Amino acid sequence: MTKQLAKFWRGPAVLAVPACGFLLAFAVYPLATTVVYSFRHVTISGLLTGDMAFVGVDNFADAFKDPLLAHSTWLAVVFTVSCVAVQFVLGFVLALLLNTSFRGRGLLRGLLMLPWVLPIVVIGATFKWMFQSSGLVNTVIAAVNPQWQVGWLQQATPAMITIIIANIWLGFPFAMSNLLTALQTIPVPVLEAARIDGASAVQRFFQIVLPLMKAPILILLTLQLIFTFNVFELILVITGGGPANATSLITYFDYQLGFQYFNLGEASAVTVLMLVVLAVVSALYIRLATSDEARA
Amino acid sequence: MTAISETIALRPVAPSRRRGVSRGRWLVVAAAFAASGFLMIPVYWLLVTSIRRPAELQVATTLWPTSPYWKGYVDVLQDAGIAHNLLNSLVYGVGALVVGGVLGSGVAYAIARSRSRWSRAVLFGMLVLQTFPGIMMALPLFVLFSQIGLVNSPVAVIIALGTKTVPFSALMLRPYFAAVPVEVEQAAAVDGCTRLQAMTRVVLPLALPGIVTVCAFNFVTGWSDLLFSYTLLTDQNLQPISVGLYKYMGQYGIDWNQLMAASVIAAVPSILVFLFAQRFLISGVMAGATNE
Repeated sequence: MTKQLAKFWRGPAVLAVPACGFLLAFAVYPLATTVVYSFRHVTISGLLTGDMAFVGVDNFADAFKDPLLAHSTWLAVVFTVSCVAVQFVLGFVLALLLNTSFRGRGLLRGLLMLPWVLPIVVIGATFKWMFQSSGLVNTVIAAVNPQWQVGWLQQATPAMITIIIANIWLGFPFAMSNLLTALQTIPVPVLEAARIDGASAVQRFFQIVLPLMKAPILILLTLQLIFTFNVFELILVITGGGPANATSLITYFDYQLGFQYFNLGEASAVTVLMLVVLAVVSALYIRLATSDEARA
Repeated sequence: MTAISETIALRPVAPSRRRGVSRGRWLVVAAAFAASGFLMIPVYWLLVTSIRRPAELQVATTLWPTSPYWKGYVDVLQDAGIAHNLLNSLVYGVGALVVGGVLGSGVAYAIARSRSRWSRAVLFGMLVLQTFPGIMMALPLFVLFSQIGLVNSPVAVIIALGTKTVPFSALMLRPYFAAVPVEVEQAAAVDGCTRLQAMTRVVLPLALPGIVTVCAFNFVTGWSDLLFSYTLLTDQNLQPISVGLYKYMGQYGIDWNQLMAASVIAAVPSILVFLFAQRFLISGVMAGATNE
């Protein structure tokens, strides 16, 4: 035992100890306590005195009785599916365009990565400004027909559309960049051979390019699902969940429960529910990511 | 992991296909420029608003300002509160960089070198942690920090950021360390280096492009953080620029000219880091490729 310990001490693994200790203390432990708290009645004062009664599944029952849970889950699904779909298609189109070489391609690629690197609060502020009643979007609409102007941030569906557009803008570079990288791994001779054999561009895309990109595409889609499901700050900045909870996705609902109503028990229960959903998707992601790695 | 690292780590090397100038190609180029132009409208509007006279803002009938108006920037830069916010952002950026860089490179090196089952488990753990939403971490951390009396402390924010930057750095750096041949270290050992010396003096310099890049991204993560500093701090003196901007947006009668000017200033470090990191990324990937 001591011999093993001494061997470990001299080996490379010892350098993993600080990081693992850090993450166990500040990521794994807090998440584990969340699971515990989801079965307890938790108040701010109780946190300090340790006075937290076990309440069984009451927190979960409360959460399920709360009509906002179903509402915010549905919104999260709508948000996630529409964002991922549009980001993926837009990213793919841009990746295909940028996969041809022309002057200025590097510049465009750099510019198009901008949304991915800007601070979220800056993106939020810009979109909030563009979607004001008298903002750029309505100004452009008014130039066509003043009757078509929309109170983007004042009405439920337009507010949802606004945050979806903002998030698509924020996230398309990630899809574009990943797909462009994947496109460039496709051997040019294969495509040339297909072209010489008379395959049209569309045929080449669906019968050669897409099948060859299957692995990176699956990883990208699962990652996009995870990232989009996790969106919170953008909503905080642009709509604050409003108007009247119309953009309160499940992450925002969880935040409200915990940080606005200090209903820490129910908030923990909702966190646990999100954890379960994420566990499924991230298990899929890890399987895809590690099998891809094994192949590489 | 690979998806993320590829996103950031690989810049395409143009497959130089020599083809005649066809009409299809021109269509592609035109479409690329048109799409990029359309997608850059928010950036344009951000910049234009930051140099537009407040009086011109409400009647935004023109798409460009009549004459550039720099007072928004001057006002923002002279605002003591904003200067303080920027300084705090700097602290969180450096904190996130240091925690992520030091702890992350340690664990990345260990995973790259160790062949035990544990290193695989640690790698899995990092992948899982990376997929957790910040808000899911914020609430438990708020609870933990209130119990140990760390709420309203910059340390709390830096620790919270570490839960993001440590797994990210570990995953990003692992390939860089794996690319350094073990023989190099063995040679160092023969020359009388201990393992730690071999790592700090031989391996770290070789993996430097990767480390610099990852540190740059960690800095930006801390610099632009909104979630953790918003949920874990109430003291105005500790707020970074993101929280400052967000709170300003909640007030009545926002001066959009000033807000956009402040936003541009807040975005500058992120953009600089991105431009700079991209260059390192190319050399990093090239170095990795020639080693193999």
